[in-house]
Amino acid sequence: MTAKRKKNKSTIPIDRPYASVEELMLGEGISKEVRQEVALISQESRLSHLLTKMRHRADMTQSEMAKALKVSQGTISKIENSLDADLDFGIICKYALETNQRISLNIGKPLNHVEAVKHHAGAMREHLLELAKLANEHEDDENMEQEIHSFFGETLLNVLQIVGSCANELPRGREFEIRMRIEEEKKADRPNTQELPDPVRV
Amino acid sequence: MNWAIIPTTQWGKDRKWYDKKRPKELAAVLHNLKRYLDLLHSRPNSLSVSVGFMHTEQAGVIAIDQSGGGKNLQETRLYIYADDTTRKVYLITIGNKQEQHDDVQMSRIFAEEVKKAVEDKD
Repeated sequence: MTAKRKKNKSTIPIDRPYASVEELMLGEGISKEVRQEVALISQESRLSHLLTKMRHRADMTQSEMAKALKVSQGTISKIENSLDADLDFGIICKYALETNQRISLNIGKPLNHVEAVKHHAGAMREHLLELAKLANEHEDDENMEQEIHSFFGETLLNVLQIVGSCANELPRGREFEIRMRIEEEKKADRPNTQELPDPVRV
Repeated sequence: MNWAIIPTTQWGKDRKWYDKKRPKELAAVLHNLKRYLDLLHSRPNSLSVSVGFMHTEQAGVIAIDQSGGGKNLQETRLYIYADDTTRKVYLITIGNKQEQHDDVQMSRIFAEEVKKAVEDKD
């Protein structure tokens, strides 16, 4: 049974603009219970929302996506409104193919900040090594080699800028050390590590 | 320019009632509002957003429902109006199926008033 309540016949805008729903909930005093529930639903439907965003980015309506996937529009609506745990893996693949976009999936316990930084650094290393390999394979192509060299320089500068600007956010009055190792390839193919005498202080 | 969310007096009353009596339904429509806004930010205008939880009513009013928020929830609608000129999303009212007719009427009148105010300003 629904409790009856009185409603006005008109409404007036309140001069309290908000930039996000989170800000709105805090600013308008919405209970912690509701805020937590919103956060929970958002967390449990991130992938289905991503599928909706992919469809929009591809400028496709629900009907067009339904036609492409050979399902009904109702099914598309259901997919995009479902919890991630109820999504079919095949559907995720089909959305990626039809919209010509990429989905990266991390299933399970999320990485902590340190793990995430190391993960991305590892991935960056892998890609840079692949680029170096490419440059070696195309030594006769000067343009490509030069572009890859330039890209390495650009990447180094970007990484230093990112770390430097984030370091500015650290509490003041402390320093952190950068110890740099230079690896030299010896004839015996064994890396020789030469450590710089003094660490660079930032 | 980013979109701004503008609450209204009736929405303020409704949300207090729902917070106390129907918190799950309130959370569900707010979650869908969040999704709607996320899509709106990436689109040229409000008309180019189309999702299952939104229903187009008269005078450009949009009703956002509770779907995706869980099972056994009461049918609930959050009525909003997105003004493309000022990039403001007005939260008009929240209601159930029984209140739908009155809510749509009130929302329509509100949306027309906003449109007129914007036109007069221009």
